[in-house]
Amino acid sequence: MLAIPAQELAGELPDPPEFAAQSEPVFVSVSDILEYKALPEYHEPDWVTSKYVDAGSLPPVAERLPAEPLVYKTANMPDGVGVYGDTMRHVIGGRPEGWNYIGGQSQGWGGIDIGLSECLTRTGPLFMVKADELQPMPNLAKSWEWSEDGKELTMHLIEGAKWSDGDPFDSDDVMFYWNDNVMDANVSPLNGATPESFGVGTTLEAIDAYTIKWTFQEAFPTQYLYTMAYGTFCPGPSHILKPAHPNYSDNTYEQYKNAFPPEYMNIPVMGAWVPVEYRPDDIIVMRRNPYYWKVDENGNQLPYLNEMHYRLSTWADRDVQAVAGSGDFSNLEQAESYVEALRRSAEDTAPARLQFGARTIGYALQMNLSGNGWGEPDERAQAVRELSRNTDFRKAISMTLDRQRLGESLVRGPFTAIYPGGLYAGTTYYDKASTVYYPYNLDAANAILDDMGLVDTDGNGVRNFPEGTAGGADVEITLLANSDYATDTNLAEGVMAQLEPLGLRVIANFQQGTARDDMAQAGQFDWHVNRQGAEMVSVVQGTGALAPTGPRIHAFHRANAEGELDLLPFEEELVALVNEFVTTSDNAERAEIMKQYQRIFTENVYSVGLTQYPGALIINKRFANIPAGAPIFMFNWAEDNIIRERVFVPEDAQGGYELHPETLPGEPGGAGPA
Amino acid sequence: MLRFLTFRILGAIPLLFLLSVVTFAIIQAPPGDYADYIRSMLINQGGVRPDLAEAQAEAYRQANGLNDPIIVQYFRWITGIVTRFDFGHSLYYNKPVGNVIAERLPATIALALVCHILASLLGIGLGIIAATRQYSWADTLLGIISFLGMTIPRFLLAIIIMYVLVFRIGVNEIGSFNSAYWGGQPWGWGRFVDLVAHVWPVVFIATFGGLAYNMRVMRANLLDVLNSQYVETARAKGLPEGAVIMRHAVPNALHPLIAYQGVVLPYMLTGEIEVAIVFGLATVGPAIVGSMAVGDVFVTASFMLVLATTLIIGNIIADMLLAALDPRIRLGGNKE
Repeated sequence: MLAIPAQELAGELPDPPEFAAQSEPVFVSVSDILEYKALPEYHEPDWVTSKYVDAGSLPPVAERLPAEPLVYKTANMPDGVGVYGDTMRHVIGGRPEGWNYIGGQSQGWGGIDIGLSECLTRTGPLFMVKADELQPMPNLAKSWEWSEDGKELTMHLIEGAKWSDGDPFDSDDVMFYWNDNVMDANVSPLNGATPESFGVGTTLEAIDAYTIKWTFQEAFPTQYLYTMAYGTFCPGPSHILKPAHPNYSDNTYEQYKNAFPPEYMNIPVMGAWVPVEYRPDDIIVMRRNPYYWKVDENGNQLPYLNEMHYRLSTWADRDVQAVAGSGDFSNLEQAESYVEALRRSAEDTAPARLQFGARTIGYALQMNLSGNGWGEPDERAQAVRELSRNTDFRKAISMTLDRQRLGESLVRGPFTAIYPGGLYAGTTYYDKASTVYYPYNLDAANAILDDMGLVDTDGNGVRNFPEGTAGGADVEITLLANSDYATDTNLAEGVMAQLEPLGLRVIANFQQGTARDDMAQAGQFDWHVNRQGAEMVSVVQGTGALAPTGPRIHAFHRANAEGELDLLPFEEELVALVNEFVTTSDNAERAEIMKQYQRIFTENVYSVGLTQYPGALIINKRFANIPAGAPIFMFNWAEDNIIRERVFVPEDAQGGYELHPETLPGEPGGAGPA
Repeated sequence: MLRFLTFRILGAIPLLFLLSVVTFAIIQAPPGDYADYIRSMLINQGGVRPDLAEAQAEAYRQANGLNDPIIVQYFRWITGIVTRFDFGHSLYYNKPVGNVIAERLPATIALALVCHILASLLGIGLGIIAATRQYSWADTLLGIISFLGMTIPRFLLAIIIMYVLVFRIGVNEIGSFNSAYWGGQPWGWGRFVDLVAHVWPVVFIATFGGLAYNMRVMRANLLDVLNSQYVETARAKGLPEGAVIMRHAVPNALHPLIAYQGVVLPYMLTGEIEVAIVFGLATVGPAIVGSMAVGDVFVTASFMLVLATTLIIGNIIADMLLAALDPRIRLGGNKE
């Protein structure tokens, strides 16, 4: 077997470099951020009172708010209590299909649905919650308690909250979402909520107008509290949607889905803004929701910002416009642009600033570990998979990659960090002591491959398979990468170049976005360079994908057509750990499980980590109350992380961007703002 | 002439049919369809688990017939066009493809026409200046300009200009036809000024490329004409130099440029399209590229068909112009 003991190959993992532009969150408890309570008095923008309340077209603000609204605490607001006015101008590359989110329609992404829909719980701002108190924030569900056996969860909905057209929000809305959308196999709510999302056999019932009860098959399945946040439990307005649903009308399911096209204005929402104008290929305009159910500690009804814009452009244009100042907000994710964007934002005249969060963007070299025929490999591909399933081989690959150089090939400076694989440094469940790192050691890597019998028999500089395997041909491995992003192809090219001295021929298979995804999802790859998903960042979301816990759930190891998974022994350990994590509610225990996960993952080089770096939030300088350290993606996207409803623009910095000043959303389906 | 025109139009129909088949096959060739885009967005933007996203994508394929053989999809599409003038349904925009085209084509053609007219006027004007000052510093300078215009790829120029505007000068009026405010206003002076402030980089770059070609052709033709005998005669008659050039030389040097107008239709469209993609303007260009990227096959195919039609129309116009100018060219040599 291996000539050099594995423990001698492992080395000290260098700490990520410090860099000044990176901001750290101020860690607090959930109760430091918000509470639900009645305040002695409530306020709203003066023009709402004078133009609408005094005119009799809108009830006074105290009557529009719930008895106990959600109150954001001043101590947790970076710039304190805000002032009303101004607009946040987003630019997106998507296009709205319609407003029927729970019927399966996309609103165009880029944070629109996050602004329109409110969910039972909320996860975005959790990046600032202390690790040992981590649990989803209350939202539409203001509190919940578990039964003694942990199989029943009773949730209390916020009482007296109203949709943006004034209709009460209650358990009818929740039950319509559950019974007629989630449980109805003919409907696929946008972000894929199915009965299984909340555990097989789970039931939900309404106890009264403001109480619902979940019954689970397992005890204390706390991870479902995360599933009840964006985007899998955000109910729609049942008083509007229900009459169009096939269970209550003559509509087909297709008609139900399309009953609220983008041209349908003023769709009632629980979110802070309501769509009031849509110009195809141009813009979506949203105005403040007069019934929004959140306030600050002084009783000011939120949101502070009166208007939201979504320019319908391209995703690439989003970064450009944010830097230029014609857009206000972008998530900068391409490390290659960092230096130039930082340089521009450092100038006094720059309209936007860059805020870097934790290094939660991570790339790994993932090898197809399915030896079972997933993706129908030919003889060569099958031989490569057998190689990849060998832990020594993966270690050798890991030791051949100089991660420092890989990172610097993307961007010079302190942005990128050496990433050994597994959970990211700087995230909640990361533990450095449990992380095994095999540093760059080409000699040892060569020795490993020699021992495995992979030698260059034909003297062409490329190692050959042993006789009897793939005809003793050169070891040629295809590397799939997404050509839509320079970062993906740059890293893939780096990997190919660095593996050459090891005597492996790695061949690029660069495909455009959807084609790449198609091949990856179909298992048609030897290796791929992949930007990893949410589960690696937050662990508590998409937890199942951390290991092959199901036949079609994992990124690089799935079942064949017969549903057979051929898990390696350490993979079975990982699966057991993940399953244990899911059913454990104790935070200390969870942390311990994830330490074991990280150790087994990195010790066996489950995937070969390449580099990790932070995303940068590009935000116009005029905005206040942007929390420090807000990541562009952690538990949710930055649009949710920054808590837009309490973001404001100081009076002296307000611009004249409002397109419909001093107006509120009109009738549902009406022409525009009233 | 009518017979000539009829034959040309009838001849275009099988050509268009063939083009539609080839286009459809090429678009469908790469792996992936619109359902894959749905799956990607669900996973990447919505944080949905891969198996749930795939289930949703598969449901979409079933509902929209994306699993049908390509030949079935093609005939469904082409039958719709022929029988109902229905170009299919855009999966991405969730509306009829005809509407997507109708929303974008007028702006595209308007922009292309403006660029073309500017390129013609400026190109001809500068060509006259260059020819009448042969080998002077002005001629050299214009030569350099036309050289740059013909050799720098337009998309590259667009990227450079955008970089300079955003990162160096701090101009923020880029992308989209109008600012959010003026886009919703009725047409008037204010909206027009706002439009110019937004689209000038596109007009500038597309004009720059076309202008260079016109300038070179005009310069060469005019130099030829200026050396001909009738120009000498005009000069000998004592006409002022300006009148000699503008009245006698220039009209005769314009012929090749006029004949070229027929085939310029697709050329000016592509110029605008390339630049609009970089600047993200809502014209045909970004829609074609965007629809290809997401697998919105009917939009891509329909746009290709529309552009192919403009190419054919352009060629027919060119043939007609030439036929009008020169009776010998007419079809089959028939005399009418």
